[in-house]
Order: sequence, then structure tokens, then C-alpha cells
Amino acid sequence: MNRVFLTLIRREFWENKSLWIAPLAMVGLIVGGATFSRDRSGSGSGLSISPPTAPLAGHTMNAISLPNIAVFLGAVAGLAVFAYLLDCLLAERRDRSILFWKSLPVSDAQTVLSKLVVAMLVVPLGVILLALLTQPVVALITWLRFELLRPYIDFSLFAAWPRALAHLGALWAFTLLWFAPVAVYLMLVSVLAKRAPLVYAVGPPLVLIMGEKLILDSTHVLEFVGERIFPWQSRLVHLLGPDTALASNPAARRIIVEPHWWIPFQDLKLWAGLAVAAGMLYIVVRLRQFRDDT
Amino acid sequence: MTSIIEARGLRKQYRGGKQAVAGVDFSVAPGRIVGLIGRNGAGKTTVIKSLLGLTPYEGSLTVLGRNPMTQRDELMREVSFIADVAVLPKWLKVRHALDYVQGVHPNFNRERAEQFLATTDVKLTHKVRQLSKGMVTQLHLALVLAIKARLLVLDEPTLGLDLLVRRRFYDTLLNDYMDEERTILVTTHQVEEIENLLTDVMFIEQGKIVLDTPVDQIGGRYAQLLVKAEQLEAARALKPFSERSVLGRTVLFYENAQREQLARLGDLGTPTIADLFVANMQKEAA
Repeated sequence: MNRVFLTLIRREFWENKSLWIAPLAMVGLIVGGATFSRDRSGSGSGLSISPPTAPLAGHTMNAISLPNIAVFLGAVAGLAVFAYLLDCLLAERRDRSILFWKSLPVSDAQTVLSKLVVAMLVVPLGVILLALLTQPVVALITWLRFELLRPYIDFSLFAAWPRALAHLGALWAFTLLWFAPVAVYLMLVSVLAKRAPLVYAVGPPLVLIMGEKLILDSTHVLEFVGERIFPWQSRLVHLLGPDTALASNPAARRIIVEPHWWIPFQDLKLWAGLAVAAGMLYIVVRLRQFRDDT
Repeated sequence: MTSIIEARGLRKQYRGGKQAVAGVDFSVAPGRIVGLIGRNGAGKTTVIKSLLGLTPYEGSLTVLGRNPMTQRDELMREVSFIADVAVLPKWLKVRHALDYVQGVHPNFNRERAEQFLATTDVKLTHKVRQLSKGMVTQLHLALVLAIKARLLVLDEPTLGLDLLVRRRFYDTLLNDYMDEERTILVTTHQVEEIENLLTDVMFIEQGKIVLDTPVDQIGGRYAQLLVKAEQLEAARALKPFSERSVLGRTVLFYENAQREQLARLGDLGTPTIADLFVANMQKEAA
């Protein structure tokens, strides 16, 4: 990564502090919760959750399962990224700072790409790293504080982390590729909207969904949007395998017992979405380059 | 000598039909300080935005041999630009502003920018929102002075600033920035403030360049005559292009007139750029 691109990425974090504050705050909440939670189990050990119930007996605590905290942090970071993408090309026009940014030797393509890379690569990688650091801390705190749960906290499970990381990496890669058209759509809204980008982002799909239902009495658009926002559970189980909370769902269990990470990547819808994302990205760059918003 | 800026038939029409620039031709030679002067809405900023690739245009335009619209990022390695003071984002820390320009600009000298800032009240830990308008201008100036650029474009850079800051801004530009390799294009409607700095002047009105001349040729080309009422008709017979009344006397403006002939009628002088601007605007309005 060259110096210019690295600087552009740093700039995004100077402006959009929520991108790093939100996941860190979530880590603080998780670690704080594990450290200061009050005892409601009657064991006197300061426990805020009940010990594992019968169906989970014999399983290790989710506290050591890497994907769980990553998913928690990912959800929070996802919200921050959503807000960031909607605002990233509007804010510079709103405060007229686009005149300053464009007075420097940085192309519109570099600027737009840096914003996409922040949203789809840098923040997700940061979340995985944070999850890796947070997980053993939470496990250790849980082990130290809650005597009742110690039998369920099996530190030897850390040995399974490389595999968990591989699954998590596959899940992350699939998720990012799957959501790329959504991310670029939000950037397109950001570069087009003059105000209230959320309304412009949500409005058109909502109108299409309602229009289709009212006129044709069908739900194709709803299904399309729903699938894009919530990929089928089977896809996630393929990626994560049976070691996930998802796999406790009987329907998911029937689908797969071991991860087959390559199956979701063979989905034509994934690659069609990426082609659309590339097309929209080109439009975003051209709009920033040629539209006079100054 | 190769021009720094070359515009031929430069035209810009906004949606709704408003013609901001009406097919103008002009060129700017290296080492000049050119004032693009016009009233609000005359088309100054549109010309500047075209030069910097910030708005699409029609016609032929090259800046430092490049097409601003398609080669803006390359062009900006050699061009610096200051718009009015409000364009630095309020969330930006001064230190980060230096980091950013250092990171993206190959010709930025950070040490020089820090040296300049050390002479001001601007601290590296300040955010732009904590700075006064004058301090923001100093910060922007520090960034621009530290860039080794061939062309500096200033669009109403001192708008809304007090007199002392405005004076210091232009003094710094002249003393610390300008040399024979550098060119400055500045737009303003506060003509009197910069007229002593300029080597060339262009007047723009309703999107057209109505005057384009080196400042040192103004004296040979234009004359200003102050006459009493009894000489007024004789002076008018010599076809002034503009006139105005001042304290019971009349000032008439001539282009390429016989100076000896004029001198017999009243007090003859060379108009200032500000006077010439007002006279030209009256002529255009007539």
C-alpha cells in the first residue's frame, strides 16, 4: 500500500471516530460486563448469567468460541460502517471541504476507493484483531470470577483457534463480498444525496417493495432485498460448520455437519452482485469527478 | 514562452440555462500575478473552478499543459489553491492537516509549514473549529507556502477577514512565496487591496473578459480627466468611455486618447485599477 493511500485511510479515521470508538466501546462493555456483572444465580460468585443449561451441558462456554465476540463486535462496527458509508461523500460537500481535498494531488478514484477499503477491509480486520485480543481476556475473567463455570471453560479449546480463524476468515470474506454491492449502493446514495441520505437509501427499495405488492401482489423485490441483507442461514453454516450457535438450529444441522467454505463462493448471485458493485463504483467515481458540487 | 494557462472559447452553462462563462479567450504567462476582477456573480469563481477541474466546461483549456478535467490529480502536484477560509474541515487537527498534505503531496516541505506556523498563534494540537477565521487563513497559507507549486490560485482568499490579516496575507505571499518561476491568479472584488501587487489585470463581467492588460500598460492606454463644469462638454466631445461626478466635478475616462489634448481641459492622470474597474462596469452597463 503506497504512502498516499495509507494517508487517505488515516484521514478517514481522523474524521470518522465512530469507526474505531464503537468497536472499542463494545469491547469495554463486554470486558466490563464480565468483570463487574452482579450475581443473580445465588452462587455468590458475581455471576450475571445462569450456568449452561441441560442441552449445552458437556459443551464448552461460548466465552471461548472465537466467532461469538467477533460477531458482536462486527454487528456494532457494521452499524458504524453503515452510517459512515452513507455520509462519506456527502460530508465533504456539506462543509465545502471538498474544495480543500480536491486542491491536492489525489484522484477521485483513490479517494473513493480509500473509503471503500476502510469500510470493507480495514474496519473488519480491526474487528477480528479486537476479537482475538478480547476473547482470552473475557475467558480468563470468567474463569477467575465464576467458580461455578470453571468446569465448562476448557482452555485447551484455544488450540482450535487456527481452525476457528480459518472459518471466521471464510465467513468474513464471503460477508464482505456479499455486502459489497450494498456498501457501494450506500456510497452512491452518499454522492448523490444533498441531505438525509438515509431516506434516499431506504426510500427507493421501500417504494419498489410496496409498489410491487400493491400492483402485482408479488414479493420478488422484497425477497431480493431480504436475501441481500440476510444471506441464507445455510450459507453461513457452510462457512462456519457445526461449531456455531447457528448449527444448534435443527434445520441448519440437517444441511451440514462440517464446513464446506467453498460452496457459498460458487454462488452466481455473489459474483453478479460484485459485478453490479464494480459498475456502481465506477459511477460514484465519475460523479465525484465531474459533478460540480462546490 | 509557454503559457501557464491557455483558454480558448471557454464556456460554462449551468443547468437552467444560466451562462456563467461566455466563450472567453485568455492566457497567463509564467511569473505573472494576475488579478481576475469582477462583481459578485460575474463568473470569476466559475473560471477558477474550470481551471482546477472542479466543474465541467466547454472549449479548450490547458493549465501547465494539462487538461484540468481529466488530469486534475496530476495538475495539483504543481498547482496550489486557496478558496475562501471556510473550506478547511472543522474536525481537522492542525497536526493532521500537516500529516495529510505531507502524505499526499510530493512537493510539500513540512518543516517550512511548521516554521511559518511557529510565527502565528496556531498550535499543532488545535482543531480548525477552535481557530479564528484569521488563524484558519494562516494555517491554509502555511500549507500552501510549503508546497513547491508553479501556479497558485486564490479565490477571494481574504473574504471576511480583518484588514491586518488581509494585509499580512498578501505581504507573506509576496515576500515568502513569489519568485520569477511562480505564477499567481487571484480573484477578488476588493480591487484596491491587491492593485499594487498585480502585474496583469483581467476584468470579467457577465461571463465575458472585458479587459485583459498588463498593469504597466494601463498608463499608456487609459487616461482619467478631472474637469470642471465649464469644460465638461469639450471633454465629452473627445469620447470618454465612462464618466462619473465627484464633489461637483466630473471624472472622465478615455482609452487611447491624445494626452496633450486632454491635459488642456483639466487635471489629467492615470486611473487606478479600482477606478478603471468601476468605469468599465459602467460602460458595460450602459
